[in-house]
Amino acid sequence: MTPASALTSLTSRVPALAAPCRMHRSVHAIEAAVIDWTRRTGLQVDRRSACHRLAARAFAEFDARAAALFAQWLTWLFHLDDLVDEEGQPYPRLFAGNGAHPLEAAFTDLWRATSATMSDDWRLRFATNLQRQADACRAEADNRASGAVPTIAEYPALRRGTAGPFLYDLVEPCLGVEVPPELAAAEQWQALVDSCADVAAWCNDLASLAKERGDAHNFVVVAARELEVGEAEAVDWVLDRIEERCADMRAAAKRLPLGELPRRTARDVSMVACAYLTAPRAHVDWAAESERYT
Amino acid sequence: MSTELRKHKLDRAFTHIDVDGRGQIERDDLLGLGARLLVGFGESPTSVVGDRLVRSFDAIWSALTAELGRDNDAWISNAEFHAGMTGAFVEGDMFEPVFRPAATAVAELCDGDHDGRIGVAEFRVLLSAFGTAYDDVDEAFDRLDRDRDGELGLAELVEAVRQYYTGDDPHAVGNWLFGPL
Repeated sequence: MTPASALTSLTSRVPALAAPCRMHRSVHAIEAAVIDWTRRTGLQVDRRSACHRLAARAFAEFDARAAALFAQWLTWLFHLDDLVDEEGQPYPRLFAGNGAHPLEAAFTDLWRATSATMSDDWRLRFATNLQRQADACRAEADNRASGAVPTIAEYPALRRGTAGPFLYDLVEPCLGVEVPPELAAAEQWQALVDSCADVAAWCNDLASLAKERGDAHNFVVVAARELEVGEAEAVDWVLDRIEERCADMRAAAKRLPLGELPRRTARDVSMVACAYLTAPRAHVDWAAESERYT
Repeated sequence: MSTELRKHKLDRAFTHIDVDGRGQIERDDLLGLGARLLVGFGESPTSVVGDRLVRSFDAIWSALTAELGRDNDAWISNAEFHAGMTGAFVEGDMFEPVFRPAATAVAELCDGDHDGRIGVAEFRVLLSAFGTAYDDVDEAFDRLDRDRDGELGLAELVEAVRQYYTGDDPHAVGNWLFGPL
């Protein structure tokens, strides 16, 4: 089984990934909003990645503006990934930058549009997760320079960091809600975020394996090396881990203390949680239609 | 009397959706109820059951707004909710193609182990999403569990939903779906 077909096989193997995400009815307007924003901020338009389609699937049930804002953040993240991973450039200075680099200016633009209505608690959470990504990207760069390969035990946390943990914080401003700080910090909420993030990131590893050949920062490569198995066996091993993490997603969602929250708050955080639970399948659908990894 | 009973039940059904007490609801409010149900059971919107629930709730909203001659993004008052529900699902013919699939999706969601039975624990998760007080759940369950075997069949729950949302019979057990009226 190739990594790409393995990814597709998950949809018949894992109940939580069985149904395709609907496509937002305004997907073309979302694409136009992304192209317009990309040109305005001086970034290059990347039609091959089609990240607007990932946002349009993840936010299919929500307002088109929410999906467009998320798609703009994805566009920014993909540019950042390419800068750091493929060009080997250092992680840019974002909050402390002077806006000279288009990525810094684009960040400033998105940050202004996103954070205006959010609390200081949320801003701190976002900034903390942005820093986590910067730290993880630097750790990967150090590994590449020294030829080190992360262990199976080390890899999930590292990958969670490079995938951009702040993306999960962005669901709230996109939906116009906010998870109460005490819930956002609770073990149950963190378990949900981490399990959804792991499933989406490991699905991404399967999708990108062929393009990233030679880079050790892929769960398949990490597993093959440590378990001393071939690629096909390592792919099967990663599929098993994804299936386990999907069970963790379900268990974590069930443990959320919704009954202890005011009804409106319980509805709002449920919408956010549903967006998280949707992310892995949205990723699978997008990987099949995007040319980012071909 | 019977019309008053249905009005009373629909008033409560409106509050299940209008969690802010604003007196009006929109599509996101109904989908928010669906999200609250899904997360309560740990179900992903991209599972077969989850997808079915989201699509069927969306279809209810579309039928409701179409009955009122409004677009999908409209806000609906309590009075309009009554008119739409009655026109589409009580006097109209949309219950079978639209509302029953949603009721079935909810019943399937409650049946996490796929044994065709719903215990009181699952029923409590269900009613918690609708805002039923903890102490009222047992009484509701006991009324619906007519053979007293401690479980509800999926068809029993779907029939209770039909009785609650469309029925006028003051003796129907479905009137107890969300606890004492």
